Amino acid sequence: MSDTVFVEEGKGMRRNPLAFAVALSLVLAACSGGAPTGGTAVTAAPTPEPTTAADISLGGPVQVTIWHNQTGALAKGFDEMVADFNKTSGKGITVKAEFQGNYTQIYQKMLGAIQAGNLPEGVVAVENQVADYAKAGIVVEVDPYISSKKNGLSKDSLADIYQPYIDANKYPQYGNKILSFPFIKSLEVNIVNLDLLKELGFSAPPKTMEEFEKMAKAAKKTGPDGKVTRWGWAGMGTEAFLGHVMSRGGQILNADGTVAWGGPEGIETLKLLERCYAEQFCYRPTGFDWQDRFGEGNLLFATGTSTGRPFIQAAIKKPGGINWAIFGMPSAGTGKSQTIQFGGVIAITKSTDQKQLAVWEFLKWFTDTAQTAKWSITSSYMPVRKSALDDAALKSHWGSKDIQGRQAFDLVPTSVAGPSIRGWQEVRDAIFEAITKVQTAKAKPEDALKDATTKANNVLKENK
Amino acid sequence: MLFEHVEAYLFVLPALFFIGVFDILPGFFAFVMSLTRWGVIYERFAGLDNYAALLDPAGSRFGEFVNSLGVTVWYVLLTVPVEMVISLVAAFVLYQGTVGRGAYRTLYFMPYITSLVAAATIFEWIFDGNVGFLNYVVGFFGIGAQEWLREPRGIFELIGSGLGIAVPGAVAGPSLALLSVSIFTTWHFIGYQTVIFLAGLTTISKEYYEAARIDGASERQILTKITLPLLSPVIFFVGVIATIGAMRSFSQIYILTNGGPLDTTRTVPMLIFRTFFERTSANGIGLGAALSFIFVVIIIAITLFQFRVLGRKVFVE
Repeated sequence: MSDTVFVEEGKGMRRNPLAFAVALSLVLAACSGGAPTGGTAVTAAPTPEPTTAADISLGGPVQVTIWHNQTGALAKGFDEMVADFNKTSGKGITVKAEFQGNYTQIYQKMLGAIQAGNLPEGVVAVENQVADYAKAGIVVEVDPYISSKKNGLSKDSLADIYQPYIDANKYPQYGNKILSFPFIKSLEVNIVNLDLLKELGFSAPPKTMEEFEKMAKAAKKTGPDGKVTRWGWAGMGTEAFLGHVMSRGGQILNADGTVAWGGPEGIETLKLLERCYAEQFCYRPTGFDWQDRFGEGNLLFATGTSTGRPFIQAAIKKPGGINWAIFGMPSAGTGKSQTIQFGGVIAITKSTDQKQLAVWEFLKWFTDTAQTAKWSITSSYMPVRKSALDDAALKSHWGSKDIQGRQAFDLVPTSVAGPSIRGWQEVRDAIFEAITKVQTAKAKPEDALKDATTKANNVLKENK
Repeated sequence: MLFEHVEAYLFVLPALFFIGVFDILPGFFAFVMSLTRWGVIYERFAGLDNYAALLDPAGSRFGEFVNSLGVTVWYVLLTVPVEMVISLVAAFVLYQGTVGRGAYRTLYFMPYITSLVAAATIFEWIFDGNVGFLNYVVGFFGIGAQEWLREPRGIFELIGSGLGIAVPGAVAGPSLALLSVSIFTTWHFIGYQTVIFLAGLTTISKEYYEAARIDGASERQILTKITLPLLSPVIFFVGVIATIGAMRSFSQIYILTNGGPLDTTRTVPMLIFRTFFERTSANGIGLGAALSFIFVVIIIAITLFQFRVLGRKVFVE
């Protein structure tokens, strides 16, 4: 059994007597030393490199199953890449990619699989779900695989992956160990109708919150019946809220693990939202219908995932099209433009050393420059490597068909990973509740945020 | 004699086996789970801690449990009586020898045989705040567009604000979102209840009506003195079943609102689901199991109450 299997502190030896026996024998072996021979002076032997299950060689054909959440064209693209890996890896690995529903459905199935002890070798999840799986002791620590001399990533290769993408896979409740690896990455971005912006007399997208609000207000237009027919902004969700808070100089979490978004930056963000609805320059979406308003030319700004690009493009129905662009979060006060990045990761689950290594080999391949660029073209997700910019196919794609893709990619350095902690989904729910209260005028921003902060901190306390 | 008993037991054995394996054992195991702290994995035996967290006013989950119980009560009140009245009226109309009774009966029954999930998805469009058909219809009556499934404000509050009257939160009533879900539920179950009422009406002997008419009874008297009393066992049955069904409703709420906005449609089953599957890491399985058992006890208590109080008013020939 692997010694890189992650188990909750203090529980490992009780759960894994074999690991305990191996560890004990290693300690005894280390203490026993060796008798000097031949009467010659004893020189210290070079310390052997520590080896882990990440350093083994694959000993034959090995099949692994990965549960994923890709559908439609993305599933087809993913399956093709998996088939390509199976054909070309030359290591006897067969990856079986199985669609198991969305994140929530996969999580629910994983709960059953954990109780039954019948797990896939790899699973797509969001970070807080991985933190839950880690509590069950079924997740393999990835650090030894990354740093393995034999099977790992070189220093340059690791540095090529954007730091926020690595950071997202570090789990503070588990000693900041890396327990998953990037799979699909997106970030919260703003989009703007450049034609409308110009029509309103503005030359460039806003840099500050003040400019943002001014432009959004200017976009509001009403029909003869007094109803609003053109709006300034749509799309204040949980991620946008956090992006605004950070861009106003705030933080997501305090050092003591409590939430930090309940302060003045959070209140200012919700006050902007309150004004936006009260003065009716915000469009209230019921799903993704804001894309239709944008496509008709009746929406100036929207905030959402960078991966929504193809849908926005498809929604543009205005004759002659719309000249649109992606831009970062406007800032305010002492803040600098920052946004949240999010998306699925893959966790390797506890199985055999061979299977664990096989999943790692797949992850390594899937995130190399050529594959991450290819996957980015297929899926519109962000590539995880800086070097993807040198990929000819991606360059051409972003240079012609998807220029906004490059604009989003340029914002990756301003992105921050959301906390990879247990209970984070409930914290997001609490933020969303505060947003809904303000949207529906059920509460003032201060009260809504106070309630949300209390709820979120209780959740985090429960999950400590 | 003994052989006859053995034979009887042998006949019920398969049923007993399946009930035991799929109902009693899981039920027992769920009860055991409710006595544990169980997040993603079993952590420890917790005694009655989970029950205390839900039932003790100082407990960490008491507030949300009481809220969901209140939502469930509103949901039952908005659906069961309305369904029963409409389906009873429909059954009476159909029973009067209406031309094309069979076709009407099929028409009424159609919503019930339509997949709940598919129908709820269609209603999601109808209720859509921006492009929904319902807003188009209410627009003819001078009513502005509503966020049918996303409006957390109470219906009395909304009516009050339309009339310029400020209605305090305590009497704001159920949210518009809950009312919308209730409208869908009512639409879905009317046909089922109509068919049962219609079957009940056909069992009443025509001789009673003939005798009453010979004695000069008016139609109103026939309805209140003959039809309703003789139909009361069926009304009682439908009432009990509909109440239990409404309390256990899940699919349509999950599809239409998923418990939102602001938990105003989070009935107890929705809370159980959320606790169990969406808040698993923080003792979700232990708390979810305890919540299920408390809810079972509440349903049994309400059903017993219906039997004790309303059951006495049932007329048995």
